[in-house]
Amino acid sequence: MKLKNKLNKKQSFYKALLCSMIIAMLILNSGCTKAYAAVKNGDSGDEVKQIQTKLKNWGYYDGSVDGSFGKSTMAAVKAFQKKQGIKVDGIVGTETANKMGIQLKGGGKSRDDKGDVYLIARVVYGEARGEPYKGKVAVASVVLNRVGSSLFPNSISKVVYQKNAFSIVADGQINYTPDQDALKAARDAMNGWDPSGGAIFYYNPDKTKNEYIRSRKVITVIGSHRFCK
Amino acid sequence: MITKYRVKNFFRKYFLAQIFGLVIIGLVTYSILLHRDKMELELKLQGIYEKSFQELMLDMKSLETKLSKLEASADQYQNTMILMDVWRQTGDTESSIAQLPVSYTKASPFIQFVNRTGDYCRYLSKKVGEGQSINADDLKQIADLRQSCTEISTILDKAWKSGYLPDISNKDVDFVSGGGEETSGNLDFSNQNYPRLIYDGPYSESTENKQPQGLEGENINEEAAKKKVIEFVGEEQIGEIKKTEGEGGDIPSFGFDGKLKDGNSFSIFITKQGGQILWYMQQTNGKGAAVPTDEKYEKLTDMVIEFVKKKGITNAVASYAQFYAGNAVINIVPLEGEVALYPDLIKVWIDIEQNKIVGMDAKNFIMSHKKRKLEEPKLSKEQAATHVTTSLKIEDIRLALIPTESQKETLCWEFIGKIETRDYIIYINSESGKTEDIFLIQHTNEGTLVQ
Repeated sequence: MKLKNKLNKKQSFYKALLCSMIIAMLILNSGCTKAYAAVKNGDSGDEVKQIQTKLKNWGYYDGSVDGSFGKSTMAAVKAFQKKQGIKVDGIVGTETANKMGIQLKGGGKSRDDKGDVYLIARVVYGEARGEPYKGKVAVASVVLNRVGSSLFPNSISKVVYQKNAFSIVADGQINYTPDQDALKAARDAMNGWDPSGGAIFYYNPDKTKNEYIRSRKVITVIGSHRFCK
Repeated sequence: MITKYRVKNFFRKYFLAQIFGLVIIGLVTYSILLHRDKMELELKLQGIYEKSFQELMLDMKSLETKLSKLEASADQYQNTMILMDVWRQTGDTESSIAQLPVSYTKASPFIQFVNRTGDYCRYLSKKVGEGQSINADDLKQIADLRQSCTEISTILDKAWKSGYLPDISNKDVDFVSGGGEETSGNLDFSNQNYPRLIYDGPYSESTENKQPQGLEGENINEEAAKKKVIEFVGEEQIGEIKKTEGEGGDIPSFGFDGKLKDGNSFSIFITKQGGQILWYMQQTNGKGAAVPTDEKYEKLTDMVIEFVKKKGITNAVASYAQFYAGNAVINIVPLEGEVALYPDLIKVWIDIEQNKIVGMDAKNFIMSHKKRKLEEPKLSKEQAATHVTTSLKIEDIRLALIPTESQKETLCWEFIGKIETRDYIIYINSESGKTEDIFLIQHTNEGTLVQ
């Protein structure tokens, strides 16, 4: 009886261990689930409608937006994929959906951003998350204006990682994943839109005590940031 | 049996104390390990900072040597070699400064000195390459630069010898003095006297303080600026509008924020002089970074050309484009006759899904546009073609005015073509036949990039 009890105890211990291992594996796994969601020939519904609308807007599809994925939709998807330089299979998977700017049900988001744009977007997200969109583009512009200025190093990464230049580098917020708004702001700034008016500094008057920065002439005020030269 | 019982009892009695003891031992061990890790990282970090400091000392010595040689050389070829070498050296120096734990505001005058030295030497090497020689004024400026390098080198040397080391233990890592009296306080490059350079280059004072050339007429007041906004956006579209704080920066302007009747917000800058639209942007909610079909793209460019026509630019073509966030950004090149005016480039944002113009940036146009007297090209199309590499399969040729680094403009023959599968644009000076610029066109998934 005692022995059985012991065995039972042991068994239940192993059971618990096994259970927790399975749970742990599930949790870990869910973090890196690959998206296999895809919309293809024969499918129908709202997602198909969305895809057809997009294809129509971009000029690839001239059939009716009826929500059923037929041959003409597939041909349009193939033409779309060919033009974007991605795998041509007529199926709307994660990559194609990302290009179209739609999120598939159960689909993952792939990171489709490289180098400079991404680094600037990280600065924007860290420094100006809660700011109006114009203020985000202005922060991105300040980074680019610094690269162009003789007072600063001449590459984006050197400017971003200069000591005390951006507080988000010191507190690690620079490593947050930027959202779509931050990425768009970085791109708009790289395309030349500069709502900061050529500023190379900005500060939040409630947060900075730096006299050097505060003594500069304010060009424009956007949200809680003052931009200056 | 009894002892066994006692021992068991002892363990029971002091169970909590034992757990507590174990926790203490664990914590102590953990913090010792943590401390060891911290020391290790600190040493590594210190090593990196010391390396940049030592490199900076070597860089400054090397700059000084090269500038001295320049003063002694009368040979044009040798001069070009040394000048290019100085330019490369300043790049290294700038990297070393950028890596030092010196606050950016303290480092910026030093960085400016290094940037301008490199920029100036590149300008000189071009000048020498064009057959001009280094004149007395240049030699004087070179001597001044050399003198500054010597002074900075001395400061760095002294700092190093007196044990000027990065203080890692301080959370706000800074270079602090190891004792010597002359180098108390933090390392600061902002009090140094740097020579003032006169030349034309991207970092020169004249370029950085360039004034807009495309503005004519009287200054307008806020009320008139507001009228311009209403005229541009369309009265029937505007819901509300209010002026923003500030003067507008490089190009003095009135800023306005507003809301359209459809609920989307917009922002606009109107120049004070002449009341021109510097830029206009409205909120868009599109997504997707896809390239449209050629037919659709053509429709978009037609729309943009029509749009700029209404704004007074009657002769223009669409150049490259980018696609992101549901928008197309199309670059419009104004033409004078048949000549493409690249300095006057205008950018127009279109919401692809709504088929609507949602933004415009006319900064380049306002900075550069002026009444120009374009000379007839000295070289014919065919003559210019002899200066283009034979491996380029030419697809299109036209005349183009391009901006140079020193904010001047050069009339060129523009050759668009392919080498194997890569797309290039080559600019041949229409007077001298020299290659002014070469662009490689990158076709990315999000549109065209010119590099």
